[in-house]
Amino acid sequence: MHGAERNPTLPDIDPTSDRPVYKQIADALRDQIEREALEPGDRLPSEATLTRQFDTARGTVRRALALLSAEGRVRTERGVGVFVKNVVEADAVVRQPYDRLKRHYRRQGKSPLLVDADSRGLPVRQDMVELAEVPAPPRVAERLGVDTETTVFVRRRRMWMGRTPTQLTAAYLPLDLAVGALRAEDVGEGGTHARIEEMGHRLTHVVEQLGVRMPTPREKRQLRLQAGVPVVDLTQTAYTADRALECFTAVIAGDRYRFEYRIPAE
Amino acid sequence: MRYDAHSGDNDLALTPIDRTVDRSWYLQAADQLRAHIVAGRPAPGNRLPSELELLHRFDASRQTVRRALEVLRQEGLVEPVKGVGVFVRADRTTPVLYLRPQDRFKRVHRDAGDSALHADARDQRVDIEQTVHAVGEVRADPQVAACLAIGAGTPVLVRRRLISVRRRTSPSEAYRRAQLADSYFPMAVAERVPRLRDRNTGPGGTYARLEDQGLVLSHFDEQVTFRMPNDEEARWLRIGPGTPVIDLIRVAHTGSGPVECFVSVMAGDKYGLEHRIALDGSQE
Repeated sequence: MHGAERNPTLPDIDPTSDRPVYKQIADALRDQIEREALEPGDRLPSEATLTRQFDTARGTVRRALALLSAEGRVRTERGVGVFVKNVVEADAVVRQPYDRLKRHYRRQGKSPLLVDADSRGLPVRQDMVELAEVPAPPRVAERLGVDTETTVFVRRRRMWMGRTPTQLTAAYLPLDLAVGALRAEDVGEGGTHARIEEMGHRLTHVVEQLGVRMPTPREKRQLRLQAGVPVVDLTQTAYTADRALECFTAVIAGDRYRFEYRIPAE
Repeated sequence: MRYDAHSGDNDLALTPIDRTVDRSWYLQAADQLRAHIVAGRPAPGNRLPSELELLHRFDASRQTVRRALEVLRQEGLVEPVKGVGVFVRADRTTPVLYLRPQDRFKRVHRDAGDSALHADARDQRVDIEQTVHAVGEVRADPQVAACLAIGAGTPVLVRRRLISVRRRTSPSEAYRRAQLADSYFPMAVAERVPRLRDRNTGPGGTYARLEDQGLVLSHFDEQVTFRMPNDEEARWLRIGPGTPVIDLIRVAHTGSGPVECFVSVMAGDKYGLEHRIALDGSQE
């Protein structure tokens, strides 16, 4: 599955430049990647080869490779080599926030995550992490309009698409709503919103806020992220006409998703 | 971010490195500091104990302490300030400004003379500063060409801007760079709307000028991805390691085709996105 080692023509280091040598080496390799002389899957020349080609110290080459790794441009396989990777995977899951929440999907028994996975024809599965009553964390309390420390029900899961974990999710519900299927390990077809509406609540809108940050070591492990891959930190709150009924949070692998929005100009 | 140089927290419970366990010393030091930071100590914006203090507390070398701090920096938890110390970042979980695309592109804002960005900023008590640093003709790269449905290499007009933000609640703070924003227009559009070449396009921004000339916008398609910045972007945006960026590409459409391709790189510690998604009857 790995491409062969490529030996692209690399420029010489400019010893008179103010730019540190390791950055010049990283620039040269990045340039090859951007010009597609090195493609995703290709193996970079070995440390020894690069050290010789650039006529520098091995430590300098290592710093250059560490920089490209922190940028998410390459991944290291111990004992095998350093490979070019896509910053965002070519077959990233397409998430269309204005489409995935439509009621007709719920009527077909499709949860929003299934709609996302359909963009790549991938099966979805989940690891149940926790079903519990917990004190509401500050950002959840604020969105649900309750005091911090108010007891709420949480369902924490790790979601997989195909063979990769893609999100760490937590769905928080006020206790009066956390009954029946909403308290069960499997919420059933159509997801949480479908169950909420079956209880007679009519959802009017959802507010979705997102930011991007580096993962904690734990998140990095659970999502099996490479170095230099950020996570999307997302909070989604579902409302009826008079109150917030659910606050959903997700930590999403930054290189496995593409978000697409269509917005009217009116 | 405001830094309090006298806020070093020397009461953190830190224990000497355990040399009997199978985990690198610098990672053990990073683990201890991280646990405190995540629990709110030192509080965001405050300073960690000095390197000297840390090496005593961990009973470790300066090199080990420095490597531990570098790990936390790469994770975006701390930020060194030259000559002062290492601070817990305050801006890591709360962006300065949420872009609210489905409100900001409403015609009412353009008619009121508000550009999309200013409509967001005003509501969230944020000040915006924009510099147009280049206006000129370039050849469309493959991505821009695909957005505008033209051949790669076709000439287009580009407006390159650098956008900085400041919380209105702390006017003593300097503006901080937040976004690289390049707008590309097909030459036919540039000729029809000469004001697109002006540094200041006037009330309501470029979209208002397009509509003045009869190019009535129907919708926008946005594509959003997430990644680490390259060296040049990090330098332009003045962000250090541990701060990812949001890539946003937007195509503005009229009834008869695309009129603008907007390519933007946003600093992850300044910007977030907020969407209000209706679930009512019209969405069935």
